[in-house]
Amino acid sequence: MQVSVAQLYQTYGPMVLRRCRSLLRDEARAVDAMHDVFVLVLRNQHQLKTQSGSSLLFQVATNVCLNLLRGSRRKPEDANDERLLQIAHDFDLEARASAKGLLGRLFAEEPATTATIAVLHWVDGMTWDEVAREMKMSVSGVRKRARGITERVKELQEI
Amino acid sequence: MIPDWKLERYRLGELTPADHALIAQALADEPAVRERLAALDQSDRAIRAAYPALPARSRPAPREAEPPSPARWLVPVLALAAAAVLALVFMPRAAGPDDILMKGDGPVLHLFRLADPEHAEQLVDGARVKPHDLVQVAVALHGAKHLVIVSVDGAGHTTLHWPLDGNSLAPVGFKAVPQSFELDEAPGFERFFLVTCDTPLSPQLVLEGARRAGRAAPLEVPGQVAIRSLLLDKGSP
Repeated sequence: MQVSVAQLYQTYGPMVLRRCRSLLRDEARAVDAMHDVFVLVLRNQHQLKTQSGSSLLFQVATNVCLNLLRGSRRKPEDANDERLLQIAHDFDLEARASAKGLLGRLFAEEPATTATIAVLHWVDGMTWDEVAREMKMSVSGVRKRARGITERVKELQEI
Repeated sequence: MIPDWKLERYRLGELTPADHALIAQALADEPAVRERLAALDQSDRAIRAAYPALPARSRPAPREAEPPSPARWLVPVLALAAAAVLALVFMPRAAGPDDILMKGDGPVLHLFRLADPEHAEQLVDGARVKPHDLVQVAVALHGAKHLVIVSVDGAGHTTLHWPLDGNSLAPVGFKAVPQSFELDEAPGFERFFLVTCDTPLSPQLVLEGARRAGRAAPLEVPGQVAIRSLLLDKGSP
């Protein structure tokens, strides 16, 4: 069944905006990010057949915001925000090294980015099982990618 | 502590049964969880009041991917809410010369000038435009499986409007390019082409064909393709 953006927005708009606000801490940027999230999902709505709306939009919102945070110079507002900014900065290099376009990274024709996995686990508090479900990966696959996560993020987790 | 994302999904009814039961129990037992849920209800109301429809972007979007050479990109501006874009294509349309040549239903190309996010003017073939006008491209594919949308200007520069990622397969329900485009200072004209086919298309070949076609020549693309074009007149060079 085809879903309209208006329907998606009615159902998930507030959730997506809260997600973007919590990651970006800037209303104008969060609203722009929300717009991008729905445009991207509109273009890839076939994924809604295999993934719940909240899960897909949450993941896309995370990726959109991470891309906006790369290179951000704002100061962290709390410990969770510091972890998030650290992850965004640390994986900037990974993003730059990717020869693939943003859409490919956002829409899982390729492996999920390590940064997204890191955010879901260390910022959102998902268990590895929950991250694996969210990313449609095996738990071992998630853990394998997580091994590449920097020591600095782990140190921040222990603060 | 129940994470925010779980509470969100509880409200949307998209949790696993086990998680749903856990949250329901927490709601029964813990006033703090009930307060968080009430705060989300309040936040929903505030957001729906502030943004009743998907708001337009307030500034240009970052580029998504490198365009295929030698395409030139006009300034991409996500100037319209996607919902508004979809609404545009249901406006009454004016026929261009390529439409007149069509027999029966077939792909149709629409162009709109965006005065602001809520007002759009449909542009007919030969319509006068000026630099910095925002143009929105929309299509009615009528079953076509693959599409490429390009334009060429009076300086011979070409622009790939769709696809952005090299894959010509039309997304389900595709009706409009998600970005509008700001016309640049190039003089003369901007001619848009919609090419559709049941098999994959090469954006590069379409771009090269558009550069050769220029203002008035037919666009030549190999294969069983349908081609529509609309020309926007930017005045004398």
